[in-house]
Amino acid sequence: MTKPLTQTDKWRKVEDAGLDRGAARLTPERIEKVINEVIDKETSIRFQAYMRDCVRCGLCAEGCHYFLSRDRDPSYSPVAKMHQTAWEMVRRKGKVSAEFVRNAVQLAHTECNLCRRCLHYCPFGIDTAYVMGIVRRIGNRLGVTPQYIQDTANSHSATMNQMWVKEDEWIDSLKWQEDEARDEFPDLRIPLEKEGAEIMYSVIAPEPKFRTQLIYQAAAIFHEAGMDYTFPATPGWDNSDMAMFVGNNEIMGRLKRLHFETAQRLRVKRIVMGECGHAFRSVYDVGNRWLGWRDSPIEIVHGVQFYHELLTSGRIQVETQIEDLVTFHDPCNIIRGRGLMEQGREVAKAFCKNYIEMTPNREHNLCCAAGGGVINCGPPFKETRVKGNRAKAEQLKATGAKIVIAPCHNCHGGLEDIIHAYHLDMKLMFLGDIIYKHMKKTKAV
Amino acid sequence: MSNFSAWDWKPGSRVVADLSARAADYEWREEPIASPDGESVACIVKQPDAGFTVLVNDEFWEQEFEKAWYLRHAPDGRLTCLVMSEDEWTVAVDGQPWESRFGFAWSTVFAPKSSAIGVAVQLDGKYGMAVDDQPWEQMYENANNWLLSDDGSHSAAAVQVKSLGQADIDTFAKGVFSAAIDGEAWEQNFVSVWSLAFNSDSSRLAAEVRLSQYEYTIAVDGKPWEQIFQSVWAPCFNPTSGGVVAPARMGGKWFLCEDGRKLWDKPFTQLWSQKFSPGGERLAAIVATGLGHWTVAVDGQPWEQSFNGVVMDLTFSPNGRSLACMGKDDNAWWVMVDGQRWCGGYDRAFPPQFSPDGKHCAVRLDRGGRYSLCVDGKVYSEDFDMLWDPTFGPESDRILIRAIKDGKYLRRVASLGDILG
Ligand code: SF4
Ligand code: SF4
Repeated sequence: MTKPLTQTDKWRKVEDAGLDRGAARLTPERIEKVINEVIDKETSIRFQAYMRDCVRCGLCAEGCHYFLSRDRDPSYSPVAKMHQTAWEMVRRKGKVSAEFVRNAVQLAHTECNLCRRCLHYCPFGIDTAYVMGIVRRIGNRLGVTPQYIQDTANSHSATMNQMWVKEDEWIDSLKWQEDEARDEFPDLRIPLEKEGAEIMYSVIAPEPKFRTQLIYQAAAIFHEAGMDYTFPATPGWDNSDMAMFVGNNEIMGRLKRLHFETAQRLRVKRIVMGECGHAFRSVYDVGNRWLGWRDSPIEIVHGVQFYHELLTSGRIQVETQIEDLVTFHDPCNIIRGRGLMEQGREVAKAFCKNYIEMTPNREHNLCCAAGGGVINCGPPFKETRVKGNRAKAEQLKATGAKIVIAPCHNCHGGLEDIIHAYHLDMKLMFLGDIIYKHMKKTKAV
Repeated sequence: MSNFSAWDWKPGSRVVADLSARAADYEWREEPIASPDGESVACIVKQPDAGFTVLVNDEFWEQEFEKAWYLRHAPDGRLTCLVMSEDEWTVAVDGQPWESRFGFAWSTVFAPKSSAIGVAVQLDGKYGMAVDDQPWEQMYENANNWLLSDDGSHSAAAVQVKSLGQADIDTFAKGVFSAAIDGEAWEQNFVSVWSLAFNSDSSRLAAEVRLSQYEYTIAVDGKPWEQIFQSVWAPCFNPTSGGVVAPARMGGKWFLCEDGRKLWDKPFTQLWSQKFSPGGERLAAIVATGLGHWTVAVDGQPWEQSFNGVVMDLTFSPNGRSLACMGKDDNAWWVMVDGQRWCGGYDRAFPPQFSPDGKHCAVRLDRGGRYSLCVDGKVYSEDFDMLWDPTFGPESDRILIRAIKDGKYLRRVASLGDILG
């Protein structure tokens, strides 16, 4: 039997209050109990098959940007990540040390984006992301989770949004953006609590907190397209889900239930969400199923699908095109997870005269290294992220593009850091940025 | 609550307001809302080169405001609106703003059996409620889950009782939340507090609480149940026993519990929104019997028919004998009464309304963007641009229809015979 790749002194430990203080409180009995409880009662045959069927061939390594970016260091390969975490926990029947748990959780949270690229490379279809999710769940049940992402999960449970945005601050942000937008579109409204509207628009909490221009832009696009929509004034407006990424399924379920029920309370026909990947994953794949829905209980449309619909139905029209060379980043959760690659491209190409693909692309695209909650683990792990994605910098650079479109918030955060760290001469944009700037504005002054 | 027997129940139809009559006097108007008795229709309007006010039938409120939103009728018919002047927010009731002013005011709440009006408020960065122009004396770092008791005598909210520094996960884990009644917080703190419920005479308060990262239970008057669960959903009081009933997750399945012990033995994939019949004899809940199989369970027994999407709006008839809900299958909505689906599916269906004698049920529908009414499974012959929920008359033989057609707001009392043909 191959000797397990244990976490030796070569281990890349990063100090973090959530991990360190959490681990300090652990006892061997508690570790063993929680690990066995999660593995026996919360995993299925799928987990057992993954533990059993891996032949250690290493083919998955080529799929992982951490491995590619770290000079093919085998300890960064997906198989090694499973080896250093879940396999040891299973092999030792939960009798692992607090230090082991702490390091396994660090690895699962900061050296894996749950991007599922490696799944495409494994001949047995082993999903390392699923296994890393189980390790995160074990860590969270033991109270060992990186501090910053735990803080966002706490915020979710206290305020039902990830940024501690208080209820009045949310409404006030919308009212403020409405005022601003009226300088450009005098009769623009941001409808709040409009019962029976066709659409509920939902966003992620960083939008009212840091990126209010995205709310402005979305309102301008909705207005120009003449859509019947509303925002809720109550919690349930934030579709994001860091509870999913820390493995706190109970809070995840609570968040998703509120999101769906808010839309149902308003009697809208569908939810349109902004350009966020992980939130989309949590509504069509994870949170919905934990609650008992096979699919989402109300039609959910991602921003990319929505913009495509507006463009192809003629509700918005192209006024000007971008001359610079543009490329398109495929976010894992909406592309590998839901196949929206062509819709995103069609919108991008309609507004951009000069377009170039990254190689590889679509479902084979390399992850941004921010998703899966990795960027939410905060400043202590920035270097891990940035160094772990040299491969992405090379991929971006090879296009020669001046603009990269990334229809996902986490991808924006991650790619911004990559562009900066590797001195790439590129600008990042959302699809909404492009549409807002280059659509025909028939209702503007 | 208004005396609906005193409303005009004479059969007939009349136009109450032409919505375009005063169009020249405003720049734009927001969605109209009809009063419960159907005698008026109101909307927020933006006046030319000025602020906002409210138009009721063809009369404007005298005052105008810098901002106005959340126009809602109280159960007794008074019209409330959240308004802002000189950067301060308050509630205006029938055009008269409260004297108290706030940094922000939102989420107006009403007591179904009284005239009390409550609102969530923020004052100098602190949070709480104001009821009938009286803000709580004690305000908090943050608050949510606003509630007024049925008789309006008490208000409550989940409140954050201690400050938290940025990313202070250790203090959070020790518990900084509680529930406050009329501004007075329970002594005990919890990691999280949600979904508050008063009993019928407003003397007791129950809430979902989280004791630690993964320990959930129900607290009643600040005291948690002894039993701890994997998760819980919103509690309610049992009108007969006085106990507290809540769904709880055990071993990955959901059970209905009373005072911490299993009330229904049968486990469900999901279980929530439990509701007692008005007399307290029957208890129903929305359940999933498997992934994508949603239905209603009455006294622990699920109905045979299920939906793959959603079940919502569980409604007992006033005599408790009938039970209706809305269900969604493959994007179409159906009405289900006592376990049987009415012919359907519709693009949208709104909460069911029973007649006082419990023999009839009416539902507002959206079919292809036009609104109509369905009574006892039969769709009314006429459709409308807009329609509000129907109300049965005191004798259960007529229905009040409040609708907009061709730009005019109309009030109609139709006899059941006319509707059912
Ligand atoms: S980061 Fe992506 S490719 Fe690498 S192990 Fe995780 S899921 Fe697999
Ligand atoms: S490719 Fe699959 S079988 Fe091979 S090492 Fe990776 S996970 Fe194991």
